[in-house]
Amino acid sequence: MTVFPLRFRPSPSGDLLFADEAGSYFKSDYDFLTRYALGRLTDRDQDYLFRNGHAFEEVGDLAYSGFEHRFASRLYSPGELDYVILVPTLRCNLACGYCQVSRVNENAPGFDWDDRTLDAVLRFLDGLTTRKIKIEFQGGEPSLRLDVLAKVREFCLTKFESCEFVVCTNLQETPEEVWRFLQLPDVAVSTSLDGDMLTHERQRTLSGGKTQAFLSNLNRALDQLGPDKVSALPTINPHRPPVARSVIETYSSLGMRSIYLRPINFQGFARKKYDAAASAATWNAYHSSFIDDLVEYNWTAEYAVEEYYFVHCLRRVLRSGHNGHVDLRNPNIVGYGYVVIDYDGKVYPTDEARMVTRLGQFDLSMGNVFDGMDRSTVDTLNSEALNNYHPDCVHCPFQPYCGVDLVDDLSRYGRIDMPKHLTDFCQRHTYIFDKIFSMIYSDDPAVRKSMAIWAGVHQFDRALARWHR
Amino acid sequence: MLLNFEIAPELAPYVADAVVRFRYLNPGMDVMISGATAVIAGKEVVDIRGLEQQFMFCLYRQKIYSETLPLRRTLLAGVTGQ
Repeated sequence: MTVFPLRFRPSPSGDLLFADEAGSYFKSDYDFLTRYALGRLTDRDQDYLFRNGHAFEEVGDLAYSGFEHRFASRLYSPGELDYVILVPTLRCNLACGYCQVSRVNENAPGFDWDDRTLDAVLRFLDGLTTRKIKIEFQGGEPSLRLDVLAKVREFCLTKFESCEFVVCTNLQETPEEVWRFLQLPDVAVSTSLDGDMLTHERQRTLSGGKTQAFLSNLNRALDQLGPDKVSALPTINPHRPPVARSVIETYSSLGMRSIYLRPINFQGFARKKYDAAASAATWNAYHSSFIDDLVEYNWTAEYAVEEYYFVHCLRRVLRSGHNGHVDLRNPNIVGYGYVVIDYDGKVYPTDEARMVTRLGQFDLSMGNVFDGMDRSTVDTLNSEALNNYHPDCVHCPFQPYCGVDLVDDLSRYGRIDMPKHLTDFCQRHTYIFDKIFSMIYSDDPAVRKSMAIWAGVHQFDRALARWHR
Repeated sequence: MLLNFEIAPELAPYVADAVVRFRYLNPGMDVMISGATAVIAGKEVVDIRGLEQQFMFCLYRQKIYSETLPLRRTLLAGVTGQ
């Protein structure tokens, strides 16, 4: 009998978590670790490992093939290009402090698509082979170019069998013609609500009048479009976060059950002001207490609330195939399944790559809509986008659930070969998977209730907390 | 701070790699190997039991990694069709 390679990690409760490359996991003790590492497994150990898919008799047998299937389903393979983020303007009618590199003033000339760019974008879309398309309009404030949004939508409806449009708008000033566009059946709205109204005003609107205008528009969007077509994201300053309960109650009072907490992505001078490692620790502490508050809230709430990214990571632990988040995939192949087209027609593999290029750190563009795509730079990155052989990740039990974000590494450190445990990405994800496993193994009924809801099951089965004693 | 402990003979082939990894994770520490004995020295007083455990984890991980590398290559080749 041969055991598939196991990785291990001590947990705060004093035991050890073991996991294999296909994502199967269990807990055991230090004695088992010693027996496993020194090749002294008992019959009982071998029986447990074989019965639970951690071992096989010979290459190609049922246990081996089953493991290969689970292993393969953990890996991300990009499909055809069917998701395009369009930035028709960088102009914006707000001046949020954390957005200084991705927006310009509302009246600034030269930061919009002209007719030539629009034509080239439509030709680019026309060249896609997919039959379904998702277009996300970002900015700046994309509703300032409603004419472009309408023309892109009109074209897509003639080209693709299935179309989905998302307008990422601040909902600050929304004329009636914009409402008419937002009310179209294939259009959804994504907006920002920075936690609670006090924080939103401090970080975004800066005045009571503007805050009220936003709130009025948000309520109108929820009433007229319905909560299924409106999502809102809070951008959180980890050094001055809103009270968790206040965020939960603000979102739930608006009928929004999913909150995607995102730390401010400090760029340029702001990034230098905050030490990266300290920022990760500060964020992790806030996020952990936020999850605890969610558990407490859900225990008595009529409608449960989730933190989107935590639930995404939880589902990646429990099941394979959860590759819907572009920043958490393995291998994280960029520039194929989706692209970003900037205000000047340049094409980028991700929005973060657009920021990195705009700051002058690296040119991560991959051509433009006028001359065509050039993937040579991103393909160089893609060759390093697998964590299975990374010298740090090979020892980590979280490797099958985790991923790679090389653009984030480039953005923060100017290189992709930092010791993994020193990166913001690794520190945030190590924390989040530690938190998830502490909750999988928890006996607290309040924790188990939230975990069941977040995992999408009726009851959180105790068999998920596997032990080999 | 000086920490001194024995290493099982079956782990001997992996000590050199484990020392490299341990020092990568703990840049302020020196590790000396003499026969079956490891000596870890550092200027700062730290959790000694934790340090020994960390070093043993490095050794175990290195042994597991080395012994299972051919299998991991076969598995990855299988799922990537190479």
